Amino acid sequence: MKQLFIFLAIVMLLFSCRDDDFGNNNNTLQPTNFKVEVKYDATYNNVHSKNATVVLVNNNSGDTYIVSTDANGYANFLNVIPGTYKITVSKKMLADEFFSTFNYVSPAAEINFNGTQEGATVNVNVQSTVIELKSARVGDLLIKQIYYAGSHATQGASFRDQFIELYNNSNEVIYADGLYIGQLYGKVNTTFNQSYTLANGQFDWSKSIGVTMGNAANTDYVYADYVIRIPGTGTQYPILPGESIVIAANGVNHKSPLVDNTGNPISIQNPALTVDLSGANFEVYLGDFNLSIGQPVFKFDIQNPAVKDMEIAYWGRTGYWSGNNDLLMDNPGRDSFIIFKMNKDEFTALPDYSDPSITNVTTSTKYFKQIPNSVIIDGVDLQNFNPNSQRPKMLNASVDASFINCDGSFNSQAVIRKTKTTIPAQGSIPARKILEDTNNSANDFVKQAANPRGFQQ
Amino acid sequence: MKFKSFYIISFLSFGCVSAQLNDSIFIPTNQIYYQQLNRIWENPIQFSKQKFSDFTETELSAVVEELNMKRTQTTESSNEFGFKTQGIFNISEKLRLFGSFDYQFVTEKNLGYNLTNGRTEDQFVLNPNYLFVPKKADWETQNYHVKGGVSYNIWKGLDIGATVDYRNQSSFRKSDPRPDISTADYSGKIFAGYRYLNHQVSVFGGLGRKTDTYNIMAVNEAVNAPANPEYYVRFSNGYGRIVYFPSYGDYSYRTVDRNFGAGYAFENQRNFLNINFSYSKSMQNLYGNTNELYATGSTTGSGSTYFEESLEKMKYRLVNYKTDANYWYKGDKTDFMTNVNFQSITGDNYNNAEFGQNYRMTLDRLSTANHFLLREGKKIKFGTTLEGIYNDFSAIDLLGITYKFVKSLNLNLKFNKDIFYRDTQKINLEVGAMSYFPLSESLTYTPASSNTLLYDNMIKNDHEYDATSKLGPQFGLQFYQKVTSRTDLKIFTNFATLFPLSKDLKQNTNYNGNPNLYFNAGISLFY
Repeated sequence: MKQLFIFLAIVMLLFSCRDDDFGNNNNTLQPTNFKVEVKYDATYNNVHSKNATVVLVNNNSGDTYIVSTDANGYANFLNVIPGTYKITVSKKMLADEFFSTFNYVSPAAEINFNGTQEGATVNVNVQSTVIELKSARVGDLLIKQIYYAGSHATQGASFRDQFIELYNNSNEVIYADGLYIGQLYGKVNTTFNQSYTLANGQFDWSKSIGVTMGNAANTDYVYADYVIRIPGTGTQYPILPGESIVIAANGVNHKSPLVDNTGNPISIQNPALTVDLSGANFEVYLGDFNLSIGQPVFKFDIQNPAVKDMEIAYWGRTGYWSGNNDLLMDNPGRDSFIIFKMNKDEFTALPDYSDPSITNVTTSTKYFKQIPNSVIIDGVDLQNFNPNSQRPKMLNASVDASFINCDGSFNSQAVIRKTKTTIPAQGSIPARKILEDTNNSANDFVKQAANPRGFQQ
Repeated sequence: MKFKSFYIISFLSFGCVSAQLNDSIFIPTNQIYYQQLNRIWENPIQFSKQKFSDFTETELSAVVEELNMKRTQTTESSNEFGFKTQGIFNISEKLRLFGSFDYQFVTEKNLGYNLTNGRTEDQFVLNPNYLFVPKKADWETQNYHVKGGVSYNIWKGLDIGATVDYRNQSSFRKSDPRPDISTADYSGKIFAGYRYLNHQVSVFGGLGRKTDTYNIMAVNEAVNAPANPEYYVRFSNGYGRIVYFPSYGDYSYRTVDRNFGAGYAFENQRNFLNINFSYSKSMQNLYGNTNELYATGSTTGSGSTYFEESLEKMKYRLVNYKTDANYWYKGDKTDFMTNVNFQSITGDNYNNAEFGQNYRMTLDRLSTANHFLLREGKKIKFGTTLEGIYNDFSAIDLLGITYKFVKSLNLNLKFNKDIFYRDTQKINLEVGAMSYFPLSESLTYTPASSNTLLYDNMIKNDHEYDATSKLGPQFGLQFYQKVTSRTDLKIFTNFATLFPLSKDLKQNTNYNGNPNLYFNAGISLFY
């Protein structure tokens, strides 16, 4: 009998059950109502915004809710699934509404306002939030097309045919000389880390080694790992109204067979999948730069002497060079691009920092140029084509309130700006297209087959 | 409709030897004893006084299924080839060993909305946390299963026992996306009981640990995007709700099961009665991978997956209260067995990222199986089996938003008879019918999400299936040949089919109108 009792005691010890399987947070998730209060920022005296479009997108599922604000500036959502949301607010205001709202004359025929909030919590305990709208930066020079996805790896040109296209959306000539193009750096997923990320999963740059400006490091600046510059003396490279310049990774005709820098032929099995970039205005050739820092020339960084080279403005801190050996855009879409203007000395004087996950500087540490939002002319946040692998935003809502992405990688697609209207030809002045520019890339862009100097189909 | 249970039970009709005429029972000589053999695993010490003689059985079999009428997350057709060997070995009067080894190779065709190794052929829903794509594809599965058990009389009426169980399964899908799933399932159970005269009380407890490791690859990873809805990998979190799952390339489940219970048994020369009460709780944790945790930059959702709290994403808890009672009458010319089983199962989930639950499943199941055999010597004059299963199932997803319940009844009735008999050979024929009747059912859905994919393509179809009455005949034929005085050969085949009893299923779903077909055949040798 003693053996039986011992056995029973062991069994009881082994199987004494606990009911705290789900911790102390054992709550039932149910849809709830949610209210978004929308106001213009202090520039506009915090007036409430009526008839603004409020979009809630669930970070965890992509569930999307769209409601317009009422006359008091409130968007009332019913039965919202609890969770963490990205809230985007956009408001397009014509001159007469602007006057009736703010009691002064609008500086433009149309003003766009945007506001975003990432990581907004929605649950039974948090049922409202406030979002401030900022007027969208009006840029005459736009990023018109970004071809980052590339084409089929074996039948097309893979990543070699990437390009970015800029467009003069104004009615005046703009000179591209000295224009900077920045490829930004940030985290590629939304995982929160208390040590070095913000609530939305993006780096908290205020925690980088050497940064002392506090949260302004996140709100007023972006960080670039690669910056290129259009050469010129100031009036060498005009962009006429309604015209573009194309900046290619490799300014060659990718539809034709090529020979790489090691002498090996590159065949193109299906030319229809790729593009002819031999007519590009500029190309990004890293060969000379790589040689200058003791690195070999990348075999696919093919130089076309007929296409001018971009200047390498920043490729990491001297001695701590960043890794890419050509202009390489992330094929799935985890990139952001900006265009900005400042003189060379000012640019050189901008500081650079390592990302905040770095606690000890080593020889492999990378640095990223800190660029103020105030100099940005235009910017686009791209997004991973697979929603399972979302990344947090890099750009402020006043630059880009949302994201845009292609349907996949290596699928020959580019994101290209929508055509808003076409102004007919007037005498000797040719017709020109006005492209959409609300600083909300989800609204401003479409995805379609890449087409240098082409327009929305 | 469990075809496997169908053919196992059909064994009951084969051969019959009056056990009580002998000192010990040679299980293969009377298929009725397989019922008892199966129950030994539940509580071996309740059977320690049952005199089962040593035996070994080896079987090769094949099963073919054509499932035209089915739930969505079930294959359209499958072929299974199996090998099995099992036996009982009495080392001494006090010590008995028993064990089995199974191997199956299974090929399945056209399975969609399911990237797991679970199927909804015999269950209303899958466990709530899983990946799927709409695109159908073929699968291959290999399954190894080894079990062992022991019962031992320590002292006077004090018995102890133990069972161990190990299953290893490997499954993969043959076109994009291609999960490669490795499963290792270990469990063990210990028993102790005390016998006084004809009565015995016992207690038992067990532990189990199961791991499922998923590696999903694709020849063309770029098609895994919303623009390709047939191939885009989505994650079901509940019953109708779809969420993102960044670790879609590599992830793993770990299920820990704890159970305990108590039993009572009574036996005399003619009667044997046993009843067991048990409680089990299994906790399944889902783990992501290091790409998500450390942002390693993988574009395929791949990374290292392991069982650590930092990678834990979701949980699913299953609690099962079970009562199982059996009665066995051992007459001179008749055998009667009855089993009544009641299970109350509750499942609920937990999402670590959202700190809450949205899914709950309940299943109350009352089943009975009754077998009667009338013998004339070793010949079966008449045998019948009546089985009934009452299910009360519900599933609710608070964020889905889906609420489903089904109360249903399965009735299976079979008759068998030896149509040819002589001392060294016999043929047994079985005819019967299996049926399913929904008693009451309801499905309500209130879209709270902009994504209604699972409701439109899986939940609605499955509910139509569950709400459809079904009936079908079944036939079995078994040939028995005595090879030596201690060796018997059996060749068996079974065929069954199942028809819907209304046209609603065809009108409301993509069902093609053809019946389900089930066929199996095999050969076994016991000695």
